[in-house]
Amino acid sequence: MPSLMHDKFWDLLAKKLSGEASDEELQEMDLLLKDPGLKTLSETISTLWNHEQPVDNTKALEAFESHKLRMGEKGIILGNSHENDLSSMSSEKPVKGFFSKKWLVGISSLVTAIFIIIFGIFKSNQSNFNSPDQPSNPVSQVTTRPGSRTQLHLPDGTSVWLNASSNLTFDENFGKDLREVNLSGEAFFDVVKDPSHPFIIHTKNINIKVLGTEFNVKAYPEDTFTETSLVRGRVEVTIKNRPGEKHFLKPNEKMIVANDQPIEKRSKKIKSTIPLITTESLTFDSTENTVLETSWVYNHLIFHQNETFAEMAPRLERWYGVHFIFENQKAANEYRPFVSFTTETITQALDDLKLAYKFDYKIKGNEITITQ
Amino acid sequence: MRTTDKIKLLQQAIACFDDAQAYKELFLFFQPSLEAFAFSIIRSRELSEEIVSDVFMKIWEKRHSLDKVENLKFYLFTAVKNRALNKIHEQKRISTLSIDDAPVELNSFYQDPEQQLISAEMIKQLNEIVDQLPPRCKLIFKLVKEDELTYKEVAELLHLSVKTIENQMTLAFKKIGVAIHFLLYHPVSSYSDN
Repeated sequence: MPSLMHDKFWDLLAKKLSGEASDEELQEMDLLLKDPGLKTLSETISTLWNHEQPVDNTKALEAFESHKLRMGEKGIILGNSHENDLSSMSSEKPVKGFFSKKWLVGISSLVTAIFIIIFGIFKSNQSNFNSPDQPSNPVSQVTTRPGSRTQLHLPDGTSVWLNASSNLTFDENFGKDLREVNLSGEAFFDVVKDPSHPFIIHTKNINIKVLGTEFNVKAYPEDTFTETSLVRGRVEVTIKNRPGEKHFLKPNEKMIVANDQPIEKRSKKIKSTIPLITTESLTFDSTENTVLETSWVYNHLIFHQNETFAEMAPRLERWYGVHFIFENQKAANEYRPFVSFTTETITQALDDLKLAYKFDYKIKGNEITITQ
Repeated sequence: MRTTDKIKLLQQAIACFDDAQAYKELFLFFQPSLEAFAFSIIRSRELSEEIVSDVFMKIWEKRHSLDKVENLKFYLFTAVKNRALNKIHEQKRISTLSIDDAPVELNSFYQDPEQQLISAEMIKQLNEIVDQLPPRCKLIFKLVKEDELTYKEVAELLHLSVKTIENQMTLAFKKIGVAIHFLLYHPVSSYSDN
């Protein structure tokens, strides 16, 4: 088959398949294809040319989420500029029905070891009390285990990223008048704008009311503080033991509220130096090009420079689902430059930290002892 | 619906109705190709993602004139190229486009499982051959095959003549075609000996 080595045939075939061939060129090609060998070959190549890989847009979706965050950081709002036309505001189409499949499909496949419980019927005697703060009749609940994170969509289309050891519940009244959820732990919300149905998050110590916005709430009951970090939009925070006060946050601000704890549990340092409520800017980390407070959404675990090993331990514990025992107090109370983890395993992370904090460790099950 | 028609519709939805959902669809449609193209020029994953994000941010900001863009795909590729060159210029103070050793990640040839025209082993060998194409040739092949750009658009984008694109496409087809010929008519094992 001599024409196999002739450039003309390949030039024509390339042009034919990419739609570049002129009529004359197509005719010329037809002549060449009278050769049965070339015909088979050309058919094989055109089958391969036209078969695309099935599209996997997981990566593109991730890129879109960080793109939206970057837009938020620059104050560009993705949505309708006409105030009264809200139909196209959502980045996700609202999902109809409570137990729609989409609700489950929305759960990110990237995250491993997700633990989800959905209670179809969860009516205990207790929940007949209609407390103004707690939605009654919890029907849906999503729980993450230590060491796992998940993403889900609420019935209104709102996206929620749930960090490790966290729990989100909402009941069948969600979306009727209000969109109310209960949160224990940490979550990042991208709330679909709907001014007629305010979105309210109840945590142990604070309530957050929003219309449509992106923000992070860190409300682990065992932590000293509850943190609300606003990426874009506007939120209103009320504190349960200070009724009548309303606090508003601007984009790129975070509000830190000291949790209402028994006095003896609060350390002296906190009581004397930190007021009940502080507002500060979100921390932008230029090396990682990310906002520290929301970096976990992108599987980044980042620690501040002004955190001791002991202070960052709870986050590591939740992230990896482990428990630390500090035998080496010197290492526990030392400050070290910024560290960041993404795909590292717990041993890889510990080996990195070991260099900075000078310690050794023993792993037994999920218990890690920090030794000299 | 043809891809170009779909893109036109998305453009209109964004331009006339500020449709955020259409914007997301447009982003998801082009992001992988644009990021790969940026990567071929700037060779950094982070910067490539950032460049595409920046280009799309401009798209949203100027959305009300978006329906005036005739050829959005080419517009996006050009914008990504310009931005990538600017970034390189900022960093290195040179900004010439060099594609002779550009990293190109081509999607593998894919065999529909229902069609057993070519065995999986042959597909694997074929992908190795494509992978070994010279970078410039591979980039051109990718832009034409996967991103469905015309020869003229690729030429303009890469500051080359249409004749060069033709030659490079011929080269790619010849290498791939000759390999397929051998894979079809010779047993797999003897091919590697030849």
